[in-house]
Amino acid sequence: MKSASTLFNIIDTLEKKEDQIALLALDFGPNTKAENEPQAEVIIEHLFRKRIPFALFTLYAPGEGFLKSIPDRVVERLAQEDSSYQFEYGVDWVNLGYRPGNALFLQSVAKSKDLRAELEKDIFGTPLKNTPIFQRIMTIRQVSFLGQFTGLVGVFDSYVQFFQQEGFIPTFGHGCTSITIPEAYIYLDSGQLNGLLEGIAGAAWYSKLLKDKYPKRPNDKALVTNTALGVAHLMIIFLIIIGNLREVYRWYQRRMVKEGAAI
Amino acid sequence: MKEQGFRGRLIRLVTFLAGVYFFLEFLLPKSVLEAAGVADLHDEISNGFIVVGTMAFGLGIINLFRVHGTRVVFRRRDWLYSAALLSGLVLMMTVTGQDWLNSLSVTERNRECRHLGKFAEVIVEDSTNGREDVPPRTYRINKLHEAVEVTIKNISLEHEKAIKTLSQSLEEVSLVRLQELTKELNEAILLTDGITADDLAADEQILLLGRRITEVGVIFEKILRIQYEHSTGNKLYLFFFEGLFVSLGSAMFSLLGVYIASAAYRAFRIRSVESLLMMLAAVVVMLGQISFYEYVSEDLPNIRQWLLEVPNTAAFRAIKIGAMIAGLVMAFRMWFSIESESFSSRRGQ
Repeated sequence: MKSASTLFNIIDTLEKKEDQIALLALDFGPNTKAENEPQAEVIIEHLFRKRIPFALFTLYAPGEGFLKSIPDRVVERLAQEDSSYQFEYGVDWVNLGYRPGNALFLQSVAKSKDLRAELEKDIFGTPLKNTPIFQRIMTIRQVSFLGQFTGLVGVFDSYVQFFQQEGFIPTFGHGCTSITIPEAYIYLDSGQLNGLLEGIAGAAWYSKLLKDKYPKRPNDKALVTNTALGVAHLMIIFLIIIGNLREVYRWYQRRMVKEGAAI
Repeated sequence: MKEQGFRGRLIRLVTFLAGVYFFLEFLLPKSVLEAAGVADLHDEISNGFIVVGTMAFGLGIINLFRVHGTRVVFRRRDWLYSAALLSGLVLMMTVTGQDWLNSLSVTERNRECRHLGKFAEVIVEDSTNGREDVPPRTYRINKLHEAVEVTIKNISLEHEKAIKTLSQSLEEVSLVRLQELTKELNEAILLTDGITADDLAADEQILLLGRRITEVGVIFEKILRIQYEHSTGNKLYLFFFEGLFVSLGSAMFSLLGVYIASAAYRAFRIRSVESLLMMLAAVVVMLGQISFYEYVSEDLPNIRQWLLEVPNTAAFRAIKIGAMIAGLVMAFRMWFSIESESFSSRRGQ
C-alpha cells in the first residue's frame, strides 16, 4: 500500500532533536475507533521506537480517553517486548487533552509565538514550560510531524487549511476511515498530505512494515481485523451478485409469463 | 413584539460584526492588523469565541434536564428511559469530575516544590539587583527554609501512605518502578535535608536548595501518578469510559454493518451502464484492499491505486469545489442573518 509505505518512510527518517516535537491529533470517538485506534497505535509505537518526543491532543471531546489509553498500552507492550524500551511521561510524550474551538484553536496554535503559553498545561495541570518535552518548543516550525486521525467530516480540512505559517507547512500524515479515503486522496495528490493510512488496511500494512523492521514485535490486532474486514468485503460482493442474479431471474420469469399470456 | 424586534436586530448586528471581524482578519495583511492594534488582541478574541461555543455544552445539559426531567417528574410516556438517561448523565459527570480532581492533585505537591524553587531564584536575583521593596534577605531565606522543611515533611507522610496502599495492589512491573522511585525520592530528600539554614548564606547554596526541592517535587509527582493510575476513581472512570461508553458506541455503529449487508442484497441493483461502472469500480477497490487479493489478481492493488489517484481525484475535486461554493453561499446567508428565522420578528405570523 503506497500511501502507508510513504508514511512509514517519513517517520522512519525522522531524527530525535531537542528542539523538535511531533504533534498527534486523535480526533475520533468510539464510532470510528475500530479503524482509527489501530492507526494511532502504530504511529505512536513507531514514534516511541524512534524516540521522537510527541504531544497528543484532540478536538473531539469523546476522544479524550484515547489520549491516555493508547500510549499507556503501547508503553506497556514495548516494555514487555524489550526491557530497554523505557519511556517517561513528560520526557517522551505528553497528553494535552481535549481542546475546544476546532478551526479557531488550530489558527491560534499556528500563529502562536510561544506554544507553551498558548497550550498552557497538560491534562494533569502541569505547565508545559515545566515539562522537559516542551523546554525548547516555541512555534509550529518546530513541529517535525503532524499526525491526524479522524473519521469526522470537515475536521481534517481545517488542519490542511490552518495548520501552517508563512513559508512553513509541517509534514502531515493522516489516518482516515475507509469511507473518507476518496476525499483524502485529493490532498495526497496535491502534496498537502504527505502520507495516508487508508482505514484499517493502512494500519495493517503499517503494522506489517513495523514487524519487518522490528522482528521481535508480536503481531497486533490490526492484521487480524483487516483479515476479518476482507472476509466482510467478500461477503458484501457475494450478496450484491446474488441480489442482482435474483433480479435477473425475476425479470426472466416476468418475461416468460408475458410471453405465455400473449400466446 | 417590540422586544423581539429589538432582540432580533441586536443578534443580527452582533452576527454581522463578528463575521466582518474574522473576514477582515483573514484578508488584511499582518502589518495593517498590527497598526490597528488587532493582532495582539486576536488570541483573546478567539478565546472569547471558543468560550461562547463551549457554553453550548452547558446549554445542552440544561436542555436535557428540562426535557427529560419534566417527563420523569410528571411520569409522562417513556419516563423510565428519560430517568435512565439522566442517571447515566449524572453518574458519568460525577465519576469524570472526581477523576479529573484526582488527576489535578497529582501535580499539587510538584507545583508547591516548583514555587519554592522559583522563590529561591527570586531571592538570589533580588539580592543581586539590590532590590529594596522586598523583605530582608535573611527573613526570606528563613521563610524558604521553613517552607522547604514543612513541604518535605508533608511529602514524606503522603509518601508513606501511598506506599502502604500501593504495595498490596500493584503488579510486578509497577512495583519495581515504584521501588526505584522511592529510592530516588529518599535520596533527594536526604540531600535537601542536608542543607541547613546556616548553609544558606551563600547564593549557590540557596540555588542548590531550590534545585533540590524542585527535584523532590518531580520525583514525588511520578509516584503520585502511579497511585492515581491504580486508584479506585481512575479504575471507575476507565470502567465507565472504556468498558461502557466506548464498547457501546462501537457496538451501536457496528450494527450498520448488518444494514449494509442487508442493503447489498436488497437494494444494490445494476439498472444502467453508469451503475454497472460504479459497481465494477467498487468491487475492484474493495478487492484491492483486502489482505488476500493475490488469490483474485496480483494487479488489483495497482488498478485500485489508479482508480483512486486519477478518476476519483478528478471527480472528488469537482464535488469538493461545488460543496465549498455551497458552503460559502450558506456562510454568507448566515452572516447576513438570512437564515435567522428562529429570532425573526415574522415568527408566529
